[in-house]
Formats: sequence, C-alpha cells, structure tokens
Amino acid sequence: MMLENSVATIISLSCPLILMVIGETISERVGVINLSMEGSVMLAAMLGFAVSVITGSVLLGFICALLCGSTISAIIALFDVKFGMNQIVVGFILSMICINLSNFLGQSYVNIPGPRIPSINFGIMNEIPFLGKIIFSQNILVIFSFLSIFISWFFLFRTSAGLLLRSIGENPEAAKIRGVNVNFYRFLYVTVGGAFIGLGGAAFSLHAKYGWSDSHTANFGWIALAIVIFGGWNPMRASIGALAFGALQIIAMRLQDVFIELAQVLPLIPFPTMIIMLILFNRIGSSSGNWIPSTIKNSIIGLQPSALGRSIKR
Amino acid sequence: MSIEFSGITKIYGDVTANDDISFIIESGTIHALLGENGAGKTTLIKILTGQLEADSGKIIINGDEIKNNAFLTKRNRVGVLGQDPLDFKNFTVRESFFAGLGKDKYWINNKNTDASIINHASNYGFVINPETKISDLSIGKRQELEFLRLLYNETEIIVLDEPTSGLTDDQKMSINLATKEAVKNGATVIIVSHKLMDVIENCDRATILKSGKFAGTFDMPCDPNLLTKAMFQNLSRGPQVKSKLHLNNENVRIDIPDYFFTKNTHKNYNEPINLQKGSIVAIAGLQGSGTEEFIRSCFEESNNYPKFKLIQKKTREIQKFQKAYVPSDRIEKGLFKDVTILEHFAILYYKNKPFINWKSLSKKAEKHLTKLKVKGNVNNYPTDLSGGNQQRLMLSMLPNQSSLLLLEDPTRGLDIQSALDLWNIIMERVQTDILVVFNSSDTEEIEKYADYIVCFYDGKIRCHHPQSSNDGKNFINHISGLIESK
Amino acid sequence: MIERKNPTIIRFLSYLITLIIILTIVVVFLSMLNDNPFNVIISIGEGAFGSFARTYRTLLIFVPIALSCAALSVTFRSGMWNIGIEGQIILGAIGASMIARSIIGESQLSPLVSLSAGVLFGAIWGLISGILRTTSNVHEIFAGLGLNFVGAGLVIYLIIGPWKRIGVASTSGTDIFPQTAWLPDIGNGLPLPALLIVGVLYLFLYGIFRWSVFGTILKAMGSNPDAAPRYYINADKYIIYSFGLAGAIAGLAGGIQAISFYHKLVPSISGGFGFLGILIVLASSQKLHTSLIVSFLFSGMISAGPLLQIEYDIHSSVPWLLQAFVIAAWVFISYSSLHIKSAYFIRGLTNKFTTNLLGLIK
Repeated sequence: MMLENSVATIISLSCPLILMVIGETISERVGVINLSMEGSVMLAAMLGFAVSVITGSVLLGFICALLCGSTISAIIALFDVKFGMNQIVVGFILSMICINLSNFLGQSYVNIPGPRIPSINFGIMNEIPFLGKIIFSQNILVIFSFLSIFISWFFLFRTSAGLLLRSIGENPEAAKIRGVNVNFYRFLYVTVGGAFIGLGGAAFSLHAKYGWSDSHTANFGWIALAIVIFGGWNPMRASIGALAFGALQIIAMRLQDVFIELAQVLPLIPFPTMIIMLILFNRIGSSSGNWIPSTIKNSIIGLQPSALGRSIKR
Repeated sequence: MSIEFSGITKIYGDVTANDDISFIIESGTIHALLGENGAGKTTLIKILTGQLEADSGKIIINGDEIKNNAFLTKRNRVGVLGQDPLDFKNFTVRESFFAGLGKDKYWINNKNTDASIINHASNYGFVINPETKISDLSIGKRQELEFLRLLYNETEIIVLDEPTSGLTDDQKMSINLATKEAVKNGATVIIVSHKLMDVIENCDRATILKSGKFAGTFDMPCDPNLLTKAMFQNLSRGPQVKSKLHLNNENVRIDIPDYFFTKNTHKNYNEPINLQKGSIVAIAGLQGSGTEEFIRSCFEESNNYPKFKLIQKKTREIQKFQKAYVPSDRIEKGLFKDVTILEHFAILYYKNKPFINWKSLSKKAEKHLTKLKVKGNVNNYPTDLSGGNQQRLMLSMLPNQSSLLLLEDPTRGLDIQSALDLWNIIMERVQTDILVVFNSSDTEEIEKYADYIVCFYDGKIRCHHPQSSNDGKNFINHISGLIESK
Repeated sequence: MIERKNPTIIRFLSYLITLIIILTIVVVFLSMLNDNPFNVIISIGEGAFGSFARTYRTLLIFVPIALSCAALSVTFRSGMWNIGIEGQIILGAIGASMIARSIIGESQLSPLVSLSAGVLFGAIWGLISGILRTTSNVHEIFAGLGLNFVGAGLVIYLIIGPWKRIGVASTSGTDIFPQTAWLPDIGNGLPLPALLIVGVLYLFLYGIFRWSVFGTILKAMGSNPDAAPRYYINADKYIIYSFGLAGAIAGLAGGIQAISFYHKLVPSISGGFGFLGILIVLASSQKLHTSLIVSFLFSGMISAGPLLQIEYDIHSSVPWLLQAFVIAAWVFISYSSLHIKSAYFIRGLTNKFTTNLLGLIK
C-alpha cells in the first residue's frame, strides 16, 4: 500500500518534468539548445495559474501556458534562423527576463487557491491491483504526459518526419542538399518543443506544486536540461530520468527529519551524473576503447546530435 | 533531363569564378567537367544545385528556366556526391538512407524498409546491412551507399565530385557500373574529375573550364592531348626565373613515408629526395589528388608525415618552429578575423615576453608590410584586405630565420599581377630559406618556378624528379594519370 | 566590431542613439508602474545613495557584480561561455569561509588568507570547466550548469551539516565569522579595501588585455581557434587558462561576499550576480569600462529595491526585470547594428538638409 502510494505520487509529481524534458529533447534533436527554459517554464506556470484563476477554467490555463512556452521558443528560433543571432545568447537573456517577469506579474496570485484538474474515473480499472492505483487514478494531465512519452518516442524514431527532424540536428548541410527546408523545420520543432515546456509549466502550478509563489519552479529548468543530456536525447530515457529525479525528491522529503544533510543534497545528484555521462559520451565515442564491450559502446556513442548549438549558415 | 547553362557568371570581389559560361549537357549522358584548381567547376556545380546564386545567366532544365533554387527544393531532382560524404555519421544505414524523405512513407517499418533497400542494393551487386552505423563504414562504402540512395530515389540529375577518390579498385568499378545503370534509368550524370583516362573511358562528353571561362566540349573518346591543351595554360616554356645563390653547401633531404606511394609509383619508389638548400619544390596535382593533404601533414606532423632533414656535418631534422605554414583557407585557418594585423604580429613575435611595446612592434610590423608591399595598415583587420594582400600578409608574418616554407596553393584566387608579385617575394626569400614547398595545379606556375616536381595522382605520388629532366617536362601527363606505370 | 570602420562622428552618434533608446525603455517601463517615472528614477538615486548606510550597501553590491563582469570578460574574450560563474563564486565563498572559521580567522592576516583561498577555490572550479571542455569536448554550458549545482549543494550541505550554527542547523547560514576575519572598512563604513580590490583588478585586467601577449592570444582564440597552430599556439592551453583566471576572479568575488557583505556563509551567497554579470558583459561587448559603469548603475537599482518597495509598492523583482529588458534591447541593437545604421541615416538626412538649406540661401 505504501509502495503503491509512493509510486503513484512519484508518477504524479514527475509529470511536469516529463513534459519539459520531452519538449527540450525535441528542440535539441533539431539542433537548438533552449536555454530560456528556466524562465519560460516559470512564466508559463504563472500565466497558466493566473488565467485559470481569472477564468475559472483549468483548460484555458493550460492553453495559455502552452502558447507562452511556444512563443518564447519561437523567439529563439526566429532570432536563430532569421537573424543568425546566437541561440545561447538569446535563450539566456530571455530566461532572465522571464524569471523576473513571472515574479513581477505573479505578485497578486501568490498563495491563492484556484480550480483543479478533474480526475478521470475509469470505473473497474481502478480496482486493478497496483496498476489501478498508479496509473488509472491519475488525472488527465498525468495520463497525457505518459502518452506523450510514447508518442514522442515513436515520432522521433519510427516516423519519417521524425527522421527528418533528427537529420537536421545531425547535419543540416546534408539535409539541405537533400532538399529539406531546414529553416522551416527548425523553427517548427523548436516551437513544438516550447509548447511542451509551456505545458510542463502549467503542470507545476496547476497540479504537481499547486499554486504560485515567488520563483515557484526555481531550478527545474536547469534540471530538465541536465536530464535531457543523460537521457541521451531520447524521450523515453529522459522520462525515466525525470521519474528518477521525482523519486529522489520524494525520498528527500521523507528523509528530511532524519538525515537533513542528505535530504538537501540528494536532489542535486543529476548534475555530476550529467557531467560524467557527457565525458563518457565523448571519451568512449572517440577513443578506441577496446576494453569496453561493444554493446555498451554502441549504446553510448553518437547520441549527441552532432549539430547541436550550431547555427545554420545562410 | 537536359541541362543548359546560359551565360552563367559569378564574381567574388576581384575574382571571376564563372565568366559567361554557356554549354549544354544532353539528357541521359555522362558528362565530365574538367579543369585545373580554381577553374570554376565547383562554383558552377554549386549554382546548379542551388547552393549558390549566379550573378547573371540562367539554367534551363528540359526547356524550363529554373528560378531561385526552385529546383533543389523539389527533393530528389538533384543529388550530389561530394568529396566529403553528405550523410549522417550517427545514423544507421537505414536511417541515413531515408533521411530527408525517400519514398513518402509515414512510419518506418523496419522489416519492409530493410527488405526494400537490401533488395535494391543487390540489384547493383551491393550487399548492405541496414543496422550498421554510418560511422563504422569506410569513406568508400559511404559513398557507395549515397550513390545507391540516389538511384533508389530515381534522382534525375546526379553530380559526382571526384567520385572515386579514396576508393579501392573494386569500389571504383562498382561506382562506374552504378553510374552506367543510373544513366540507363534515365538520369543525367555530371562528373567532376581530374582523372583524364577515366573520363575518356567512361564518359560520353567532357566540358573544360579554364580560368572561369568555357573552353570547349569534347566527345569521348578523344585524344588526351586535346584535353590537356585546352585545360592548362599555355604550354609555352617561358624563361626560367632562377636566381639563387647557394652560399653553403647544405643539402636538404626529404624522407617520404611509404604511405604516399603505391604500386603505380615509378622508379624512385621510396628513395628520399635530395635537394640543395633554397630549392623550390612543387607538389603538383589536380584538385582532389592529395597535394594539400601532403603539405598539411608536413606541418601538422601527424602520423606518417614527411620528414625534412638538414644535412651538414650532422643530420638534423627540421623542427616545427622552423616550419612556416601558409594555408590555402586564408581566413579560416591562417588569420584571426577580429584581431588587427598588428596584434597578429604581437602573437608571433612576443611569445616569450610578458608585455608588448606597441610602438616598436608597430614600426617593425610596418617594415615587414612595406617589404612585401602589403596594401594595408597595421591597424586594419585581415578581412579589410584583398585576397592578394592577405596572402602577402601571411608571407610577411614568417619567422625571420630561415625556414621551411610550406605554401598551400599560394596563388589561389589571385589575379595575374598579384600572383607575379607574390612569386617575386618568394624568390627573394629563397636565398635564406631552407626550402620552399608549394602545391599547385597551375602548370605554368610550376614550370616557371619549380626546381623539383613531385607528381600526385589519386592521392598518391606517381613520381618525383627535377624540372629539368624529361619526366619533369612531362609532368602534366603524370598528374592527369595518362602515363601508366612502367 | 563594425565600429572600427566608422568615422568618429558616426560612432558618437551611435552611442547617443543607443543611450536614447535605452533611456526611453526605462522611462516607458517605469511609467507603467507609476504615473511619474522621473520620480521613480530620483527615488532610485535616493535609495542607492541617500545616506551613508545606503551608499555602503550599494557599494557592497557593486563589488561582486563588477568582479563577475571582470571574470566574464576574460572568458568571453577567449570565446567561451562561462555559465559556471555562479558555482565559482560559491566555491570562492566556501574557501574564504573555511579560513575564516579556522584558527587563522582569529588573526589579523585572516582577510588576506581568506581571499586567497577564495581565489584558489574559484580558480579550481573554473579550471574543471575548462579541462572538461578541452579534453572531453563537454560543452562549457553543461559543465558550468552541473558545477553550479554541485557548488550549490556543497554550500547547503556545509551550512546545515559540518558548519552548522551551534545548537540549531538553519538554512539562514553559518555562525557569523569573528570580526578579525571581516574585510575592514574605513571610517563610517566605506568598504575601501573591497573597492580597492575592484579597482586594482580592473587596472590589472586592462593592462593584460591591452599590453600583454596573453591578452592578445586570448582575443585571437576567441576569434578563430583553428588558426592557432599556424602561430605555434596551443589553443586548448589558453582556453584552460582563461577559465582558470575567470574562476579566480569569481572566487575573489565570492570570498568578498562571505567575509565582507554577509560575514557568514549563506546558501544564496552568489545572489544571482554571476548571471547578471553575463548579461552586462554581453551588452557591453566585453569593454571593461562599460561593464564597470553599468555594474555601478545596476547595483544602484538593486540597492534601491527596498525603498522602491516601500514608497511605490514596487515588487523586488522589478529592478532585475528592468535590467534584463535594458540588456535585451542593448544586445539587439548591437547585434543588428541598428545604432550604426541609424547614425548613417541621420547623417544622410542632415547632409541633405544642409545642402537644401544652402541651395535656398543661394
């Protein structure tokens, strides 16, 4: 019973991060690092909550958050594609603007209640032992985020549109020669990624960490960036990473009273892990490490989209 | 797919890459594009594929004029096989095959798509494994794969840029066969190559570009001498420009590793080259034949690099700091765009001192600049200078003491006057330098200045000999691969 | 970069245009908060410098921002994104705190040793980023972010763990350091030593950038590391050096934060000043004097925050928001050369105008 509850909670609380990493994975797969994520998630969370309070509709809140996330990502894509401005510079500046903008605009919404997301009643499904509790008693959002994992994975790796997306992130010059309209698709998919990030923001303020407060989603943007990396730019693995992180947070909460120091430090584990993974990607990938079994080698090398962070020469 | 070029012109600054080029490529033929380095072949191809826009002129395909790269965006109309494979290193064969839209499948059902490409490949006698990662394949195999992909997509115009460089003999044969198959299926193939014999054997016609201008279309097969005459500058032997004083009786020996030789190399296989100090060595070869890589490896000292040894009483190898390298990509590899010329000098000359005395450095730098007649001010940035001046700038920034000069295509993109001036400078330096090693495909240049010629063809050295010898006079044939091994 | 080609009058005009645009943005922004934006501006001045105590606080805020800008100028010069600066500041603070809490903290030498430890710790943290970048091709952004969080975790661990306050572990910080460990002030509270450090450091950096080979090589690496071998330079070496130097300066900032501003170690010891530094240096195109002036102005805005809150009910995020907008506009103007183009346009107009006028007169 305890385990069931914990697992259900983890799944429920990891929902925002899952949406965020799916969005960023899509964006990075097409070659663009969305450094504004820390800010855009916060802004989307605030706007989503505010709109839902004003209109009383959770759905409108989500839509608004989605639009917010896509708009900010679209700005980065626009500056990258149209003006050739460095995506990192634009992303960082937007991040700073959005963080402060969300705190500024969100002042009057601090700690006030608002509408909740309805649950779906699956009837008898709820009675299934274990699965019933952890999957079918969740609300629409969580179920949606789960479906997104599989849909995005399938899209990226099993459809030709996804292949096209990945080819732009691997070698935009080759894609261009094959007649792909690289600029258009870059813009499109970065915006789509932003939409997911926006949804992730609303998933915070309307579900996982209900409401709004100062710097409500603090650090989760950077955490998502890290998780995308050690998820190897794969939505399924990244989501597992998000779940793992969620688990770490729950454990940290439970440990709070007993092992204070550990509790504070635990949630920071993703980062050294990410760095180690990156080193591994590069070392194993480029070296002739014959002592590494080829299965591990094959699953690690070449994961990073080769053209990540590069702007396309016009 | 007949292709007509009509009045294509493309100008870069003071260099005219394509000058009013007009000719027709008939549908369903294998048509070669020949010419020295810098003749304008790559530019013309890039205009065809839509990577560049011509300044004037038009391209007419099957009677329809093509406007603004519209052709390229209709995927699979034009396919290019460049010298660097345009594929995706981290993808599997299957993914690289279908990336960018093969036949409009919405999702990739591995079994079916695999069967389809294995089948297709076997039609041409190739065996492929859809699971393999592209990065695990050799360059040759990757090129083969790319070709298969173009055939699979029924690409109508196929452009092959030096298609058989770096391939084994078997692979070369299969590419040639595949080309003929493609043409049978209605494609038009354009081949850019420096291998005259291959062109004469395999192509239907050949167009020659010389210094950016159209220099004739020839039906194949034809007499190779006709081609060489049209391709290269006047074969007149002008007065030799040699005024070297050799004060010391020092010799320089070049030890070239086996890697650069093949069974096709003539007699002097493996023998070191012995030269007098101050000699000028030309690494002769057409674009894609490996001359640039040779010069680069001399400087970078990666594995298998040619070693230069100074022979006096003792033999000592020439160290890196005595080598001066002038790359052909001037801005990309040789200069710092955002740094003033004066600062370049500072980096070169102040390595061991903490602080810079700008005034005295400025005077010193200006002296260097005037000596080499660089039209520019020490406070300019490299991009402010013309190509010729940039080249002179690079030469002016050489260590003072005698050095081993490694020049990559020194007169590339320069007009005649700048090229002449540049060589005057080099000839003056030659009095103190150890050796001047340069690569070029400009035969007139080589004849005029080189004491010794190393002939490259298809990535390897064919032969090497003094200019004055008989072989020396025939080097054009060597670099075109016309003379077979003895 | 285009500035070098332009005549002085154009350059002057372009600076003027940028200034006007930015001031317009500030005024418009403030007027959305309050009917009279100019009153707000005056209040900012008051809040920052209205009294000795306020001036003191402003200067103490100025110091770490200015030092961050200095550190970032080094890495940006060599073409690197040192997003790990926050972590380097934190590590510097940890190093300084370590000394301040130890036996050395009781002696007169403590500030000197503390800051040296801060410099060392910060430099090490920076070097890690640099080494990861050059040896393992780990993008400096990911390395920097990762190290930031490790640093943040480290500081929290220390504050509620081994270095916790006697009796109760609290995230409000460690115990206050002994007085001897503090960076001394002069008279009524002018943090002269801290300001001196900033001044000396800026002069030092200016000297390095302008007169040393090292500075010139860094600039070259930022321009085109591929050309380095031709000049017998090992690009990787210099990139690592630049990270080390930047980390050292950031560590210095962290150390000053610990022993001067807070007199203890707190979790938010870097205060977001590292990221603010990134924004400032981006806008000032790595020019040291511009960074210094902007740091000063921004520290005034931040310092005036509490006063603005009380008098105009302006939220604490507003100064930061305004700064971000200003920077965004400034960066956009620079990258798109809007100011240069406008300057030419204006000159063209004035030329036409004067010729027409002269024509009329004749």
